[in-house]
Amino acid sequence: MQQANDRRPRFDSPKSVAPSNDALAASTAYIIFAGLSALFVSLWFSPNDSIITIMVAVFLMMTLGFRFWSVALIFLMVQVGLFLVEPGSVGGYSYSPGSSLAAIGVLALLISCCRYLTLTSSPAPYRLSNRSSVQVAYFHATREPRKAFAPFGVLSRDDSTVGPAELFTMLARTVLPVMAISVMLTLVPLDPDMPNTARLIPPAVRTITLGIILLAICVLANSLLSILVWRRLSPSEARIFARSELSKWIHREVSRVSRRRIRFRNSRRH
Amino acid sequence: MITNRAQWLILLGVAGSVVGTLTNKGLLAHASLAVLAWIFGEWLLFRLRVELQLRHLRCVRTVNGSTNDSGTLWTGRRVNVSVEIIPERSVRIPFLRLRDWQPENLTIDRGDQLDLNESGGSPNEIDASISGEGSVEFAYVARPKGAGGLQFRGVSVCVFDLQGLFIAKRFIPARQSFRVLPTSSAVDVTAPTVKRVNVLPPPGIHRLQRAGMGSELLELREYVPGDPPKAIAWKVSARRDQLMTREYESEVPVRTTLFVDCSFGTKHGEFGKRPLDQIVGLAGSIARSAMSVRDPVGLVVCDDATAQHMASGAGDRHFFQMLDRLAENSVNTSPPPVRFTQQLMDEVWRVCEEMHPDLLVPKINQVPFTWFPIRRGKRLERFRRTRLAAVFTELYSLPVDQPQNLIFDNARMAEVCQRFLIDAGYGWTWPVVDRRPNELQDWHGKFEVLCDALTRVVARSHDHELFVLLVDLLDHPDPPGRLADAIRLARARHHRIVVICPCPDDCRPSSLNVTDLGSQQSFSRLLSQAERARRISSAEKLQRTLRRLGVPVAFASDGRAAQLVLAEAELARNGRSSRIGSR
Repeated sequence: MQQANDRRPRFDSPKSVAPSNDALAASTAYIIFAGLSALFVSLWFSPNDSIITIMVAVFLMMTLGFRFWSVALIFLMVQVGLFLVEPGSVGGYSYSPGSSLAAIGVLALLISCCRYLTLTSSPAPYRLSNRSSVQVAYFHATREPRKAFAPFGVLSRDDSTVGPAELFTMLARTVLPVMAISVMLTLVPLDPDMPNTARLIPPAVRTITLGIILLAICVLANSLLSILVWRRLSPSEARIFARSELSKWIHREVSRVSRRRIRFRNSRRH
Repeated sequence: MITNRAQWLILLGVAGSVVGTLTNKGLLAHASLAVLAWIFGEWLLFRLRVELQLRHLRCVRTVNGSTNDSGTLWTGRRVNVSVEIIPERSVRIPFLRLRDWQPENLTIDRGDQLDLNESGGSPNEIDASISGEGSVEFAYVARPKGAGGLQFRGVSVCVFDLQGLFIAKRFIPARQSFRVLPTSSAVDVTAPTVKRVNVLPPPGIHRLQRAGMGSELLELREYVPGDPPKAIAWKVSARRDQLMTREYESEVPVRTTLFVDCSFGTKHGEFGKRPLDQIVGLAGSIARSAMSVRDPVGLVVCDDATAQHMASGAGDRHFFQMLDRLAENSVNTSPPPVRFTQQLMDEVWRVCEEMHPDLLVPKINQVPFTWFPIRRGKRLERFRRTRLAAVFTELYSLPVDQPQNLIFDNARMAEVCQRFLIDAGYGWTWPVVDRRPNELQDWHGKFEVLCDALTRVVARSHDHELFVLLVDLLDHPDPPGRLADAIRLARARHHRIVVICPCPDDCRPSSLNVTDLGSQQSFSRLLSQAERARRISSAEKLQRTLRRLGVPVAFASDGRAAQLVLAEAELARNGRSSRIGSR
């Protein structure tokens, strides 16, 4: 049984108690991973570019206090760097361990940053208005205590319960997607000699093919999960679903009847 | 629910993949597609955990060492709550936040967790990870605020993935209902009410210093023809050379009847700060003190329409029955209807999101497509209302056509929203209940019921009884003529009456220095001072009016209110008209 009540370190508060060793180790490990990944990614650039990239990466990692957009910014900068540095290949994609290693580095950088942010503050809820997002980001940057976030519905993490095993699952998370994408890109090669039946350039055909494959995988997985979940609905959930499906068919008529009934009742009152 | 972070990463990943494949930049395409694949994998894993593994969590709550579904708690006393989340089979959820649902009638004691308080944490909340079949336990200390009932509903669970890409909320039900009895405190009696020079009299026997058939000598007087010969004091008669007769004290208990006002006005407010909480607490203290000297105590509970009588009695069993009756009448059961407002809807949506997140999932609780309303805000409100209507139909087993009625019928929707909030343990405060201006209709109903009850009790009583009216009269310092008549009737039959009024701000209406008003800066403080000044003026007027009728007035927040009642009981016992007067 985990007695987690006795250790509740606070990272996001200036008046916090000292973080426990585990929590400190986890967050430190993620930031070190992030730094190493940034260095690793920068190796793919030319010497001048690598200095710039390292500087940009360090700068962006310093802005981790902004929480929400920092990971997206890092990713954007890496994408821009790759776009500018890499020359377009005419022969299409050919699998090379180097490109996979670069992708693993990018992924490790993103995952490390995400985990560091999750450990030290909070995932933000969806559907915050822009103004709220700015305010919440400002609170994160100024390390406001948790109660400052409560009006926005933002939850912040106050404890590190990540075991050391999670550090190793991160490695699997970086390798598996890269390998899967490598296989997929190998299976869908760029073929310049392909007959142009759709009046599209070969890269566009490849992009569409990849998109269709990815979409099909998504739809298939979602369908399978939905079937799996559907059989585990509680009776209340199932009744609500059945009623909402029924109301889709007849809601116009029933709404009309309801409104007339209310109007009639109000007119009788007056 | 997807977070902003995931949203941005997906957007950038798609853009990078498209640009990379279109421009034949393999590294960019590979990295971007890998990010998309990673997010897709995380989504699959997260959904599997939420939909399949989270259903295997069970909650066991221990309240004061007991896991029973019901029990008894006392207002203001410590309640040790321990919550354990037990997986029924092996699960792996790396990051979840657990929060025990806090009823409004419960205040969490943060005395020993000051560090967390400063940073905004709550003791009933914890971050945890569950791996395998190991359980998670957290504990906190709380105190019930007001008498009535208290329900623990369950534990709210917020699940995240470790990268902060997805969030999901669920609720693990663990219902426990407790009745909350008012805590009665022992009152120091200013005058001794029991005989100190001898052993305690047997139960039900008290000294009434009037001539009677008791065993204690009251006085000696001259012999009057007709006096029993055995009462003649022969030695004294011989010394004085005339016949003297011994008179003995009467030994009867003083019956106390408590009239408790449970009308709408006394139930309005936050738990623990309602006028009813003061009334009920004081009624318990008075009953306990009176019973400790073996006086029988009766109870009359009046609301706006009816009065419930409880016969006089003594002893522990009767005392607990009385507390039970008081707690039962402190529960908010049938509130007056409320108007439909946006604030009411927002509050209901917030509570429903926390307590029934699984019933609000868009895939399950679907909203039929309509063209109107077109404006985004209005459309969102309509969606929310439709979903809430579906949830209410399920929770309260409403007829199948009710969801559509609830969507368009504001009055009906307000009624159901109010019921939902009160079931969730909300007090009679805005927006659950509107406070009507002056509540004139309630006042009339309340006085009618109170007058009837008082007259009926006076008609049944013997003599020298004590009636304690625990009634909210501060907002109505001129009691109607019928109440004055009922009081006069009781006084004419030699009963004693005490009126005790609750104070809304929990402090005694005392003299206010009017010159202080100028120094108050904030508008709200000025307003509260003005309200307090009004209350003081009203209290003075009430005291003047009732003093003319020979009725002392005290205030519930004053610690001497119970002492005043016991002093009046002593006067009734002595047969005196005042504390310094003669018989």
